[in-house]
Amino acid sequence: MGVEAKKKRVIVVAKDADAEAVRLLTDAGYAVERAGEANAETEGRFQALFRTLKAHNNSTRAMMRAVDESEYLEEVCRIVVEDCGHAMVWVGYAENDDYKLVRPVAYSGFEEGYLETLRITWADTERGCGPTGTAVRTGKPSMCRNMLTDPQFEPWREQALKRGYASSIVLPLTADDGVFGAITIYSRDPDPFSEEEVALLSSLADDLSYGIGAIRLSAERAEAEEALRESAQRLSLLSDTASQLLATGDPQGAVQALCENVMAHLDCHVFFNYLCDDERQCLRLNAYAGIPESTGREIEWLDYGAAVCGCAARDACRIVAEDISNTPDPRTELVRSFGIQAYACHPLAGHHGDVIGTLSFGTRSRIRFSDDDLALIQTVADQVATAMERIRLHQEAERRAAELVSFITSMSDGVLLLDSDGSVVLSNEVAIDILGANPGTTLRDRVRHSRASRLDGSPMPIEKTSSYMALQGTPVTDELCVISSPERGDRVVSFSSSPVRGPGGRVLGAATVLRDVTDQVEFERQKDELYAREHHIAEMLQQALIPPDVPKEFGGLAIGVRYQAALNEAEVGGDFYDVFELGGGNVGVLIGDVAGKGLRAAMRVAAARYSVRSYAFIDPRPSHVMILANEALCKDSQDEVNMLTAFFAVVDTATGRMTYATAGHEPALVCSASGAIRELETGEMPLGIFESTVYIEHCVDLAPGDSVVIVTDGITEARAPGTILFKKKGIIEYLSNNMASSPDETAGGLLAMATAHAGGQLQDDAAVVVLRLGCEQPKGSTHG
Amino acid sequence: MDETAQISITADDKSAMITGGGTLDLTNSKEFHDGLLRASEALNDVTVDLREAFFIDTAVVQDLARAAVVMQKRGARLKVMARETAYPLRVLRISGLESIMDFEVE
Repeated sequence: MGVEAKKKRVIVVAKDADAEAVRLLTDAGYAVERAGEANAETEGRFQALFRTLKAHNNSTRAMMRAVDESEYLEEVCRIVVEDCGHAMVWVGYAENDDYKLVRPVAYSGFEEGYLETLRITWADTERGCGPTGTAVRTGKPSMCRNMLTDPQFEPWREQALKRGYASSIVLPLTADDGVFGAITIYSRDPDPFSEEEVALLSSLADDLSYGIGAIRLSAERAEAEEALRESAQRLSLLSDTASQLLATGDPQGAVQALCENVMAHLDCHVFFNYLCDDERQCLRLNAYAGIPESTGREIEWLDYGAAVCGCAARDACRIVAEDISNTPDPRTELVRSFGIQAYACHPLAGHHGDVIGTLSFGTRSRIRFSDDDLALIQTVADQVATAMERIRLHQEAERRAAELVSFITSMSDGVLLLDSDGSVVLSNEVAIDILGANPGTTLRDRVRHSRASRLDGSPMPIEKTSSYMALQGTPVTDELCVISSPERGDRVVSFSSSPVRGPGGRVLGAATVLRDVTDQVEFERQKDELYAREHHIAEMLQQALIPPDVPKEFGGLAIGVRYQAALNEAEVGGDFYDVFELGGGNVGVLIGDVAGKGLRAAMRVAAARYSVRSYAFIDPRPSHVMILANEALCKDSQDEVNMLTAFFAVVDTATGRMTYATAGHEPALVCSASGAIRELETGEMPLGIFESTVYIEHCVDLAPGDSVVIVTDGITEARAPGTILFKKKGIIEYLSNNMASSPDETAGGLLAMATAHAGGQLQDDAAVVVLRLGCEQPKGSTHG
Repeated sequence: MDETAQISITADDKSAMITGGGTLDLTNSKEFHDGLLRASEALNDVTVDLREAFFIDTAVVQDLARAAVVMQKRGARLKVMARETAYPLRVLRISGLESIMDFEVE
């Protein structure tokens, strides 16, 4: 029931009570008339009823005026005493504790300390069986008609009689949830309460009950309204605080104003806002109020662990100090010096739970904060921390974005940052220049606009572009693509893209770096072309040097030759051989190796080969040929040393005599028909080193069936990584096992064996020449 | 058998020691080539230590020959240290370079 409804009900009740009183009076008047005579007793009762009615009316009016419960109770007690002429009236409330005491809360009349002696209970005990205890317990009026004789009144009789009390009536005070007290009226006369007066007093007690209920309800409503107002103020304050913090770009500056508001709201007298200073490793006072500026300067820097704020920051926990002047806590020494009685300090929590500062409020007007106050302070602290952290993160993000933009802008390569849809979020001038990739353009737009194609001219599907692949989570490196535009023509662009991932690995976008490599690709193409041309020339030269058609037999001298190019086709080697007829049954045999590779080596081979061949036709003596060829090659080299090893022999097919000279080359092997293998003489230093080198001529007489095997180091040094060299030992082993082979088979077999030894592929070029004197006895030959 | 090319050069204003180990060929001997060329052009006491060399090709032989020629023009001789049983010594002997450089064989 609302307060207004209660009031209406009280008024109605009052009117009803008046009507009841009038009815009782009327009944009494009729009774008197019916008695036929107005004796003194009847008049006395009538007077009593009249006084009670007056008291009833006055108490009803008092109820209507009542604001304060105690004053109302006191007034009703006074009215009953004064209007009814009773000795004393008191109101007691029933306690619901273990003792179930009836606690006096108001009285009027001649009391003289009587109430202190009562110790009335409404429990079912001896002291609870008096009129008051009985009325409270039963919820019905209770009377002691004569205190002198009533055995139930024994506990209080002496004190009551001392004060002249003779009888009493107790009327319970009831509410919706039962009896909550009683009003007790003491009379100086025994048995003074008529039935009608009891009814009238019961009505007065009911009014009193209603009145108390109404006042309490009103008070509750006022309290609720106050709480509501308080709550609304707090919400408004928090809302304002949040709005200010959200709106401001300088939360540190906004703290001053909003904390002063909070301070006023909480009836606080100081606040301090400290922020962590990472450089100095202590706290710096950012904002404060309630202390002189000079003091503010004194406490501008605070160490972690010092005072309340330093401890809250160090320990990352709230500190609430109460009754500070009476609580010996060294941490509160500072705020105690400001006269602060209650102080609450909250750490300001950063994004990752780290402490970024503290916010504290203190008051001189009370010794502790209420829970609501502390909750408000915590909320404000959280708001301030959130705002500061928001701004800090925002500034950090802006700083990083600026750095990124600056970095990207300064890059010589084009850079695109794409969102998850492939739209350009950020691009630098180079990217815009190459692709026209302005921010906002989509991947599909760019591919279409740039008419992107592969190097072979086929269109580039969008799904195969590096940016698209990166957006699917796959990084791509150096994807070449042709970009066409009317202004720039066809340009070859290298794209490298990586996915940009967020929390949980989700692809948020992609970063693409692009570079115009048209010139580089063209350079590489030209270089390859040049290299291929050089290789082709060298190959042509070398092929020209190698006799295309060495006869397998010449004047009874069987001949086998092999040449194997190097593994790397670009590295044309310097190995060569030559077999040529010198006339008179003589055959010239040359094999050699130019140091180095490539065109220069091939040219050197050409020079050596034709020098030897030319000089041999003039004078076939091998030493003479070597000396002349060396002189020519040294002059040709000028200051450089470009050496080559060579073995040159002239075989007289008629006699079987082979004269030879060696210039730093592998010694030739002679394999006799009997199977004996011997190494021929080593010689002088390679050609092309010293112009004055003298080469010595050696000779060996070959018997029919003897073979001569000459190789380049491509054979002797054949090997696979980690294995031993083929060496002379490998050649001898092969020859021993293949005595019956023809020179051509032997040359091919040796090359194959060396190749197999090298793991199937020779790293260097190699040449083999095998000669075998026919089985017919040479003329005038000697053997030995 | 460590075949990795290992080249070190120590030198002062009078002498130089160029040490080549492992496999030395055209593809990995640039440091050897450059060091030997500089030393032979500047110093009269140059030693090439090939005792730890497993293999040398004709490019290295040519470098040695070139250095020896350069030094011989000043009346100095290149010194080469090698192991008797090692392949590089055989290559050097076949090349007939003993006449223009001194071999110190272990």
